[in-house]
Amino acid sequence: MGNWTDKELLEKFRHPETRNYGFNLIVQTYNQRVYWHVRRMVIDHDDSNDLTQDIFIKIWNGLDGFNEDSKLFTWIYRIATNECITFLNKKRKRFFIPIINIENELSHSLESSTHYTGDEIQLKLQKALLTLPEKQRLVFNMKYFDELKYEEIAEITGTSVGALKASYHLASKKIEEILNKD
Amino acid sequence: MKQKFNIENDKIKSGFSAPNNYFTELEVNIQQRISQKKASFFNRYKYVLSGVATCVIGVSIWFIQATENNTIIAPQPTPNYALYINDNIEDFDEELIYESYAEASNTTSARAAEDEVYSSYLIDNDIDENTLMDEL
Repeated sequence: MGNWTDKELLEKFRHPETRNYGFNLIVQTYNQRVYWHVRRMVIDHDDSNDLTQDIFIKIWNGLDGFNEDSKLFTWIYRIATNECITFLNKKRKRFFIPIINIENELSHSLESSTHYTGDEIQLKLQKALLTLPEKQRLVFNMKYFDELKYEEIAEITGTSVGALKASYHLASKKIEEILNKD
Repeated sequence: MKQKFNIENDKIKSGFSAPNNYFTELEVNIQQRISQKKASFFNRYKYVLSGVATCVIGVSIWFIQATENNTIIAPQPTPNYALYINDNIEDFDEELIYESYAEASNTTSARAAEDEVYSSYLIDNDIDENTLMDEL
């Protein structure tokens, strides 16, 4: 797979003769990043698989209207993030799960998943993350695992850099506290 | 003494994994869903599209016919002489009508007599009709 710039990918997608090829390149370039971002938020592999496909269908539908006022990947991340939040909200409503208990549900899902191969400390970290408020967990995931810059996360979430720094600092302290407890 | 855990210094991976070849299958599944979406768009609007196509063809045929009717002179109705004579019988001299009829009948019988003369001549002189046609 070649390293394509956003500009090249968009040019290929916008040209009628290379539209499908251009979109396939976008999928190849971003499918793993989108999947892992979704997976860290919704935990279950099957849910992540369905959501990732839905996200790329949304990208296909909306790409003609993408006016390049942000980077392609931040635009894709924004769609993915919104889909994850919508999914979790629907899950709460569907199963009448109180907001605080959805994380318990996800924690059980994490332990029973056949596609979780993390060691003890990794599992502990994931469980600690599930005790955080959803927005803090989202910010932590993007900063810690995806290694995005605060400016990029700000573009994706529509939150100020200052608020993100505060959110990440709080999340880190809580996680360290949990990990150092035992 | 137990060492304190520091999230920034001790980088931990997420520990999630995906099935083998998952990302290759994911690409294929996304492509299939997009193809289905395109097909379902056509299926959803196929009746509308066929209706529009029928209308366009109908309008085109009508337009071509209308254009042709403007350029070709419309055929004049064939006069119905019998009806005309019947309606205006008082304007015609009865004797003249009989004379015309008799003349037409005579012409027909004269032609029949002439044909009979020619046939008799051919038989009398033993001339084969086919040979005559060939020579002509």
